[in-house]
Amino acid sequence: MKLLRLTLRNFRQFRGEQELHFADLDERNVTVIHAENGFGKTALLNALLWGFYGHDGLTSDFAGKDSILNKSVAASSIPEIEKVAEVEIRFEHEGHRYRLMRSLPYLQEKADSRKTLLTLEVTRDGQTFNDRLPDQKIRSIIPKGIAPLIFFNGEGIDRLAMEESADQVREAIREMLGLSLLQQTAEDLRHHNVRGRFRTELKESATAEIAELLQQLEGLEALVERRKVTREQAKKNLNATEAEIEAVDASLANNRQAQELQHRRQGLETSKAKAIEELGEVTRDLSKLIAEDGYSLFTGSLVTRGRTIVTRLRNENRIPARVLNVFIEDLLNSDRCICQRCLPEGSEERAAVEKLLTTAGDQNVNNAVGAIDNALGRLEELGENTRERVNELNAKRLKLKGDITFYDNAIAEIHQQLGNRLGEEVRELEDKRRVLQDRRDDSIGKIHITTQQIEDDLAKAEQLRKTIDAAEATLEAAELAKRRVSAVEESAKLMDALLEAETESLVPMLNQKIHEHFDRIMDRPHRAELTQDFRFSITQQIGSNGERVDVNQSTGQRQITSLVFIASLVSLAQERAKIPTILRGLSGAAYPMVMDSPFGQLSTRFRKGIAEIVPFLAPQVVLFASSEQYFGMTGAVSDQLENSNRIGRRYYLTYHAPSHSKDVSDELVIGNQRLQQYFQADEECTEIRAI
Amino acid sequence: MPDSNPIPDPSQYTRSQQLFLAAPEEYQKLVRDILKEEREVMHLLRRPEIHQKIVTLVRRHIA
Repeated sequence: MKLLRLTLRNFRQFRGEQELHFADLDERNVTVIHAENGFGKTALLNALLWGFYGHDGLTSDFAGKDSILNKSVAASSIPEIEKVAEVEIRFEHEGHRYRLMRSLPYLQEKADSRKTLLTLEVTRDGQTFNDRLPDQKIRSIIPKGIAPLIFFNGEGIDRLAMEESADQVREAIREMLGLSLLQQTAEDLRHHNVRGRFRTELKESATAEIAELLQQLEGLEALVERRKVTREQAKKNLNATEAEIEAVDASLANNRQAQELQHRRQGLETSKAKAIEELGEVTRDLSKLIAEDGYSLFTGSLVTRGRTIVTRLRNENRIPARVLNVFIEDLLNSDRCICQRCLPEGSEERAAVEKLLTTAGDQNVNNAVGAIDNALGRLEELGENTRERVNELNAKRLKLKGDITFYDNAIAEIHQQLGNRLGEEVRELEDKRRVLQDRRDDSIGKIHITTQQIEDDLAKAEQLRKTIDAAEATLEAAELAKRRVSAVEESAKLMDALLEAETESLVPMLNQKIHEHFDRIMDRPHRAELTQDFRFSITQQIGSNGERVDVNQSTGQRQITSLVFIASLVSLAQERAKIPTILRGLSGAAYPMVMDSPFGQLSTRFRKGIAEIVPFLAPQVVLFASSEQYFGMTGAVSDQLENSNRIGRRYYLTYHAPSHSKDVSDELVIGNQRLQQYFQADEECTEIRAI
Repeated sequence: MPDSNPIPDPSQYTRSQQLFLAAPEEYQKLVRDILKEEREVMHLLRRPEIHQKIVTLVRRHIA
């Protein structure tokens, strides 16, 4: 898919008709749009999203989503029928050209701004016609789930590389590589209109007792779903709070009075997080050990008693037996003793041999006692090993707990120092941080508790299912309904397993792409890797024997890792048709990447790194950047991009308003050109101008 | 395979292909047909009939 042209008509601050053409040559694939903060970068990004997906596509940071029509136009005296906001996007996909037009008339905006008019013209083999299902067609070309990956605000994209974004990363892979069909199918199978319907049939054909159990099961499953929603919300809150804490931390790190303490605190918090993780691992190991071998700790007296019995039997020469009963029985059966005397019935000799049966031993007893003896030895050894391991793990646990307390105290002390002794700004930041931390802790607590509750409920549900299975086994009438419920449940489980296997199989291929991209910008010893649990790790080679250690990622590294990940997905999506999959018809698709401010507040080194890879991130790249981001830091970005010779089109946004931010210059200077970018005007509007 | 491309050499089966083939044949057929229906509607904003279609398929396959 390649973007060709964007035309805006009265969309937000873009009054009248404005247009921009995207760079579409393979070797000149970058479109740069210069725009100062507040001039309309976000609105332009959202114009594309609104065009493709309507109201649902707008980003969360786009304020006033219900006011799409330019305010001056809305308030003007022109006939209402002519007051229309419109976005037109021309693009190319698989050899066909498309013209998409989404519009929102003034009266419709007042009634319900979500309802827009969409038309999609397709030109194929020189013939143009209207697509009958434009929304469906657009979603088949760019599934909505991948929109946040190809149209995004670069500030904050680094969050994708954070530990807690593993779910988001997994989702991104599934969306971009066409696996969401499996996920959707599993959800549909579990829907109350499908599984619920068969359950109802089962209830109707079951006894009152089973019906009651099924009722309980349904209640439990509904509860699990509600808990999952609560947990998802808590995760979102946690992510948002962590972003806020990060912003406060960045402000503290930049404050001369606070930076030293802040750096120390960050170090302590990293160490604390590591200790908490280790503590979790040790506790899990300990629980596993107790669950599997813990019984051996309480078998001491049993072993002693067993040993006493075996020793006594040995001392009494009862084991091993000197004469076996089978031998005596053979003699009696043959009526002849070992000394060749006859043993007729009723004879004294026979009575003497028969008497031996009372003291003769059994071979099976011999074997059993030997096995018991052996088992007692192993039990004793296991008990000793378990005791040793429990002590070792406990000591580790106590040490880690002590470490965590130490870090907590040191962090609390820094909080006191920052909160009490330094200036007003630091105090305020510190207060804000404390409030945010409390909020973060609440969210973490909620996530843990809900996860535990979900696990407990799922275990109860499993138990209930077994009870129901047992009760139903005898009911013929319920058999068919039961088989259908099982078929639905098993098919949904199969979907889950297929989705998991397909997603995991993509990780090595993604890693290959990630390495290729990452190697372009980072020093050789560094390596980024997506783990099987969808977290990013950056390792550094130490020494010459190839040993690698984990590196704590800075914001810059995370930003690069996130961009590299998205670029790798885009690249893999292009080759989708060649990747083995269980699903039919997953064709490759080339997507553009549209990035608003991907350089954020990064240092020179990282800006250079990102600028170097930007042209290679996707077949087509659209970049929005302010002067500071583009030309700042002694041309970290501009030099790289200009030298790449990849810029195919270039625009700047001019801002017309009564006043503007003092931080922004009236002119945009590009080489020898001085372009006026601010114009004083009574009404606010933005224009797109080509350079 | 659920709705897959030409059947590959068994020695080259992916994990998901192995998982699918390990499921009872009855479920394999059901899943294959359900995926066909899901594919038809996967890009629709509203998919009111998909649940009914799945129910019908389950009834047909598990009779």
